[in-house]
Amino acid sequence: MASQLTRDDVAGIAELARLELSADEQDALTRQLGDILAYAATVQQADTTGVEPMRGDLGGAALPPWRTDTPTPSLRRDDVLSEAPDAAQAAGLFRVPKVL
Amino acid sequence: MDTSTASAIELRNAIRRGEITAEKVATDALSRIAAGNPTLNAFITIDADRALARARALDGHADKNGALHGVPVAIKDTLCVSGMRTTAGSRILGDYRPPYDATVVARLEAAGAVVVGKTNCDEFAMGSSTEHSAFGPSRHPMNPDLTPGGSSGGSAVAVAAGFTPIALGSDTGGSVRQPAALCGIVGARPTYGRVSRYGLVAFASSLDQVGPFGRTVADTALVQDVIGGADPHDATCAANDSPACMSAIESGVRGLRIGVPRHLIEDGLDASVRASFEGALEVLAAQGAEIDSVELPHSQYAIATYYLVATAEASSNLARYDGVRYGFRDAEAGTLNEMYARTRRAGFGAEVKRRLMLGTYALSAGYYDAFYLKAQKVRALIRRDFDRALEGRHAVALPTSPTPAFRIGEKTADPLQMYLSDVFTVGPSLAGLPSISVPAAVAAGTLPVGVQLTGRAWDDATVYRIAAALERSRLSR
Repeated sequence: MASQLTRDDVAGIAELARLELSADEQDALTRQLGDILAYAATVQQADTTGVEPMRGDLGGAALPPWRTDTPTPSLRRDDVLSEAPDAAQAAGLFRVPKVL
Repeated sequence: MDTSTASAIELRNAIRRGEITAEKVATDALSRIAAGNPTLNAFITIDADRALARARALDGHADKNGALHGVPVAIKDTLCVSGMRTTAGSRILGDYRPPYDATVVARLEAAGAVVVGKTNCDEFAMGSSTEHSAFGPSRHPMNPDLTPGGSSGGSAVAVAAGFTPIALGSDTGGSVRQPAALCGIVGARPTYGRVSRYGLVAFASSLDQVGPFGRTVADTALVQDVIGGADPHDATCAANDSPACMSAIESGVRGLRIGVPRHLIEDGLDASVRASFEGALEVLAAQGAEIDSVELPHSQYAIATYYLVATAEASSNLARYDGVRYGFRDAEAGTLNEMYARTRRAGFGAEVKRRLMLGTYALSAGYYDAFYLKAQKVRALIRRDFDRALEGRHAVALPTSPTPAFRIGEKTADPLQMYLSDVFTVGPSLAGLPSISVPAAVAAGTLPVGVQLTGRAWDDATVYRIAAALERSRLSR
């Protein structure tokens, strides 16, 4: 399946990834992703019969500690908004372009 | 005292004894950076005023017992320092100044360290050479035509060039160990869960670890001990009741068993890497370690597994760069969706786009089982391989990188070739195990070579212990 990656497939993935691509980027990525996926597909040769996928706990390597649920102050709203490209500081909001 | 070659521990002790001030140490470091950085491009941001103010304040403290009192440190630009520009090597973060410190930065400063600036790296830590930085590549201190490795290349250069004795990096698939090896210094990846990632710009959350660089094993161990331990801000960080890394380093290797996966180094190894690696094994054997062969039967799948898991997680983590809350925005876009897509088009570089596309594909309907889920199963097998190899053994030894430092531009045209430079480092990353790169002895006039030692989960101390034995032998030659 990997070697058959088409330009349209790449356009579809780009849409899912919220990436606008130039025509050149689309060409390059069609070729490069095809190569990389052909290599990545080698995982399919491994016999994983009866194997559980690794999970976030890395097979029991790291057990998250318990703690009491004590409220603590968060970051100050003004500090956070001051980093936004377009914030309505007084209203305490991030501003974005129209949705439709 | 030559502050460019002194270790962190020597500097700290000299400051404690009143032989030198923290201000003088910081001033020296900043002038070395001012002189050397235009060529080497180790730093994206240098904050001399902040560093000097902090050093003067430390000189005024009556209590000089901080483990890193007055020691200059360089911080990879994937870690937040409050109020200091943080770019992760990307345009998309613009002039982002985080309103908080990463836990590891707060702990270094609490121990008395002086942050001098933020170091260059591949964009979002995605690369093995720093060539994927939006701020241009860092250059190898021994030859500016070579890359220092990556992604934490700037931190490795800062330490190898004598700018600072210690630095922090982050290691997802080898991004601390590989540049440490290529630059001839020590770099470690702690056990997954041993060091907080709060304030680390996320790339692949099941793999990312913060790790220390130093010119000596002792300095590197000290930094890991300072930054490690449970953190209420990071639920994946475990309470640390494992022995301190520093406590182990003088113990020698007599009686330790070290396995070598011979089947992985039969071919494809640069001749100088092979010679230095075999020399290191002889040193360990001569000091009383027992060296034997082990099998890691699923290693052939490690790179493919790594690139599927890491890119899938990255495609999720990097969804946050949408031009809304921080960083760069394409202000011309008419609608919200256009704004997202255009912001990300202009803000991300080619390698990040490639990986986001690969990760999105691996998670997409119809391909999830064949790629992401399959990779997580193979990952479980890779972990099992290591667990079996480490039954009755203390460590697995391999070269850190199959080649010494390579030329800038040599691998950028073929992404797959660049990925293959991580062939020995991604295994321990996938398995979540502690892994260190320590310089091997090399023939005069040849580039540095690193030996990678990987230990059992939570037994970071033993890999430092073995690394220290190799270091003592190399320095006594």
